[in-house]
Amino acid sequence: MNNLLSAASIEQWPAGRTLFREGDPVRDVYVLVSGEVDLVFNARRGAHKTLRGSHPGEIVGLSDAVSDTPHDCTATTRTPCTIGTLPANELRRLLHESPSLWLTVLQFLSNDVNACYDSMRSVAGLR
Amino acid sequence: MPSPYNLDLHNTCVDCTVRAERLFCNMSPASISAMETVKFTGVYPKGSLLFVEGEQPRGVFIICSGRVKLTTSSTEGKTLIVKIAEEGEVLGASATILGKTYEVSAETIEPAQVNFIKRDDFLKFLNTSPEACMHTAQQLSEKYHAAQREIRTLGLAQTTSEKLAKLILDWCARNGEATPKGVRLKVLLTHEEIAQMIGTTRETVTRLLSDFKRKKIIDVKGSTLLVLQKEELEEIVTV
Repeated sequence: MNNLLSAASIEQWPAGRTLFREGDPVRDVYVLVSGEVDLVFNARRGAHKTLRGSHPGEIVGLSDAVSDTPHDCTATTRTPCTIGTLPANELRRLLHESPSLWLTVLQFLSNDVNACYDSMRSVAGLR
Repeated sequence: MPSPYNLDLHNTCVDCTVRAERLFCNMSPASISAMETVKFTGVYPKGSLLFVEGEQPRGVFIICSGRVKLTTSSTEGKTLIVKIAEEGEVLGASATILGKTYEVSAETIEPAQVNFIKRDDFLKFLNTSPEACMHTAQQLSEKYHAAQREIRTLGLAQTTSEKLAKLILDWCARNGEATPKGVRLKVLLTHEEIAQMIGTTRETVTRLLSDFKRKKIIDVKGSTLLVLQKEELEEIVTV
């Protein structure tokens, strides 16, 4: 994570700020150093709900950057946050120059997948 | 001699004729040759458990042919199907990479050919091949987005009818065959399994499918489901 943070621009974000919106193309990934981020899902007819959250140590928007697909939810800071913002192009450059960084990225993505399965269990009432 | 379960077997990855169509396997000859040396090929009948939720990770499974359902269960025995994995997908990668227990169980829902790579060998493969890392990252990303779509449906759909309509529309988009009468789908899942995909009971699925049939939105004959009025399903879906 330190490799990525050293290339990121670290800033304090107040609560209630939007990092990206559902449907936006990927420009940056966000290394969450401290604070909590809500992941909000929108329905077609205006309804929206926070169904997941991101926690310190996660990289918000990483999976979208890897697949180069638009964001599939909206990310908003729930609390004041310290966030390292890294342009997606810069992430790709770092991965090209330091292939060993892929292993770090794989660990983040694996944690993201597991967090999603946890959320699915919660949303489906399995726990 | 006929192949097991009449599967079109892919005996070697290097000579595999469908490799170029598969996101993970479509690697350079050098990487695929390296994978060839560490993979074990297995052929499984329907209903085989590849791995079980909570089990220590033994390695990754690459589906060469057939389909596999990924499920998670509560301590009370309630089961949710998180995904129906298809040919070309890699299963168990997150557990294998993190060294944590499998988060889901994987069971074949039809005869399948599956390649297995032991955990140590897979980690070594990743350490020596940035290309394999990139392809694994794409697989993880695909799993992530599929899970996010399920979370959206489970969390935002207001009725079970809407969840079922959404599931049928997803099938139409993925595997539907356009016919003059409507979109034809081959559904090999039982009502119980469909219920486990949308977090409801078998009885509710049976009742809702009957409702859709009575309203002439769908028609069902054996394992063939014909969507007669796709727009009616779209009207039900809000997510």
